[in-house]
Amino acid sequence: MRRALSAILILLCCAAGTMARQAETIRLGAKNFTEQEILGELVAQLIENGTDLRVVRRFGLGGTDICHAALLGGEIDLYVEYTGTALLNILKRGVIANPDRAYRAAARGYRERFDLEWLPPIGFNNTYAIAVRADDAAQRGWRTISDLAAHAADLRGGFTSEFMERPDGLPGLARAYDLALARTTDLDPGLMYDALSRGQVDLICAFATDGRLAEYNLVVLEDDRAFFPPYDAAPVARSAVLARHPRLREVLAALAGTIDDESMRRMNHAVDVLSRSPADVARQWIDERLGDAATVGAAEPDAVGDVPGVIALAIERRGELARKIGEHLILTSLGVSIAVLIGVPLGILIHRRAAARSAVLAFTEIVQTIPSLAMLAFLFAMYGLLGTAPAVTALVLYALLPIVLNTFTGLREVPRQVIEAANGLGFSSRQRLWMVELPLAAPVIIAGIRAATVLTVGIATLSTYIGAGGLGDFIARGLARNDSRLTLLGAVPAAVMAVLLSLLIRLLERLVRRG
Amino acid sequence: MIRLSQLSKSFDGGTTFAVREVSLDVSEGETLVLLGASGCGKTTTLKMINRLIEPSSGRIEVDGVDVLKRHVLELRRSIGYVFQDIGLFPHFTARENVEIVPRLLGWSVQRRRARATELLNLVGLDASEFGGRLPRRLSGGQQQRIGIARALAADPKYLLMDEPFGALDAVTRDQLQRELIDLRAALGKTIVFVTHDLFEAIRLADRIGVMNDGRLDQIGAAAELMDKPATPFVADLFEHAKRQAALIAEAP
Repeated sequence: MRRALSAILILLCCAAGTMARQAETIRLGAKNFTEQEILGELVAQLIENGTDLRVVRRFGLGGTDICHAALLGGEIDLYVEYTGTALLNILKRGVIANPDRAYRAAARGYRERFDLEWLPPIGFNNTYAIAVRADDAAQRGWRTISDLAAHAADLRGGFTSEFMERPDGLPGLARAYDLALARTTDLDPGLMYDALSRGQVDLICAFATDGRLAEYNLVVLEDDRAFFPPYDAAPVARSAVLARHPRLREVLAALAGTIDDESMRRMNHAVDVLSRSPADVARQWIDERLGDAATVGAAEPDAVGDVPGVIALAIERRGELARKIGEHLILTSLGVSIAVLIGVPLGILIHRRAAARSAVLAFTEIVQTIPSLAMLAFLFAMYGLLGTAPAVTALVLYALLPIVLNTFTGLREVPRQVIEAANGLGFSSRQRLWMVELPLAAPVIIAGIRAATVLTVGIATLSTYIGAGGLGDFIARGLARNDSRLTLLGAVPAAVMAVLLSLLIRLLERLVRRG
Repeated sequence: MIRLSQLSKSFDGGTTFAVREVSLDVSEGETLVLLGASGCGKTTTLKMINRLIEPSSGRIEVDGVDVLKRHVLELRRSIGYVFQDIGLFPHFTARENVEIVPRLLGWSVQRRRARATELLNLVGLDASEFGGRLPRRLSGGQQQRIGIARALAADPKYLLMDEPFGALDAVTRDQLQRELIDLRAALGKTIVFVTHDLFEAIRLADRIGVMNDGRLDQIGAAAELMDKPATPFVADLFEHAKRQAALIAEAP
């Protein structure tokens, strides 16, 4: 069984691999937050405008480790990284306060250890910053982070889960400034600003380039003890790719030193607050910067700002929506189909062999308890591949339990006297299975498949974090930007899809129910 | 002919025996009824004949061949079996239930169809009216008629019947017993019939084998058993039945 599973997965991986490696393509990665998407788009459009290469966008990857592993594994060719992140998370080196020395150390480390190359820095430094409400700062005379120390016992902090754990995050900050906060809360990056402006927390970890700082009337406190290390952004690429496509280097030189903190903040603001698409914002920057500004003027309308509702957004982005629905359907149907091919035989096995029963059921139950994101990250690490293969594997694993359990239960509920009749009349065990047991268990098995399908539609929304696409892309982007319309643009079709598929399967269930 | 020699069955490795050293012959065209209380070993004996249960020791021959030397599926398909709880396939129609053994034997569709129609009519169910019905749309009596038709479908020489009318009401049971007698006269099958009902045994049997605690106490025609009971158990059995019959006769 395990071998069959691996075989299927290897096939899938190969399929995904050949699709991605067609002709002369370059695969771009980006992490799952706004700035990364804008930078990803910038790089993508520069390459598309300046070369014949086809760009495959694998944006929305769930974190630094996944991007780095994808780059090493050849799943992506290039993405934009930050010097501080590279030194701390990847190279596991201490903090280097000087930006130039930090960049050089990162570039040298990557070249020597990974055969990866850092292109020139883009210009801005997206370091952490501590932000507070502007009126608080005015009333209490806060200007620097040191000013907070005296009030720390009354202050509530809201931080991203990453900041809570990083050495250059809260643990280091608390030590450097002798800051003992009354309470700290883990918050989603998309919700942090809201929480601060509504007074649910008193300070947050912001990013220096975040577009929402001005929007929410927040101020950044000066890092007077120079605690936060530099986070200069620069494209990181596989050396082999740069060698094969020397044009890349020239084209991307257009980015070097061109975007300062303020420009980056404005672009982030355009996406996060004004709800423009990262692609639009990137296009406008390129047009303005590279001269042919005639095509798209600065009069880019605030696309949907004044049209309320998800429907308007859905109509406006119908092409993309249709594509995401298609991807989602493919993920779901692949996941469920493979789970059926594995789960039904497993159910039959444990019905016949009591010895295998507890082990198989325990395995499928334990799988259910693994958090989906952890599962995705683990599978990605195992395969060293992004996209469909690990995502579908995760979906298969989650879909197994209802299918195995219902197959087992359905078979067990076939009346004893019917089994005895089949035996007494001379059915072989195969004939008994196909002609009697499976037909009688079918309604229960199909009910299990229905449960698995609904579950899978839901879990498939998380596939976005390993670049497998689907409606989860909208949901994750919406959450990251605290844009409920975008979240709903993913969530509503996913819910509708779950309901429709469930109805469809219920219909099938009715068709096979006989006797 | 079916011959049982020194047949024993223990389900617990020899500590207790469900069937102990039973020997008997069933001749061609005979109806042998195995009679006894529940747990006496009569059903176990029946099931050993088509190897639904394998004997612990002893021997069963059908037509002179040890059943253990025959292919088990081929053996079962060649012997009709009527089950106590009927056991129709709930997802098959009446006709499909009747056709199942011919289907397992690989008969052509045409031949199967014709045979099912013939048998449904034989057991008194109009094929065009009842053939397409699922079992749950048939009464208990109709279901067991289908059960009998199913057992007869491949025209087996032998028919094993395990308390086939036990679950039916008295009137239906009486009717089916009568039909079985007619059917037997028409078809000339050799039948081993298991029951705990002495009246049913007397009515259907050429010979009755009385079983008690796994042993065959006595085997013979009903009159013989009544006149010369071999054990107190056999004597009691008839005394008890006579008292019951008297009770009915004296009822106002």
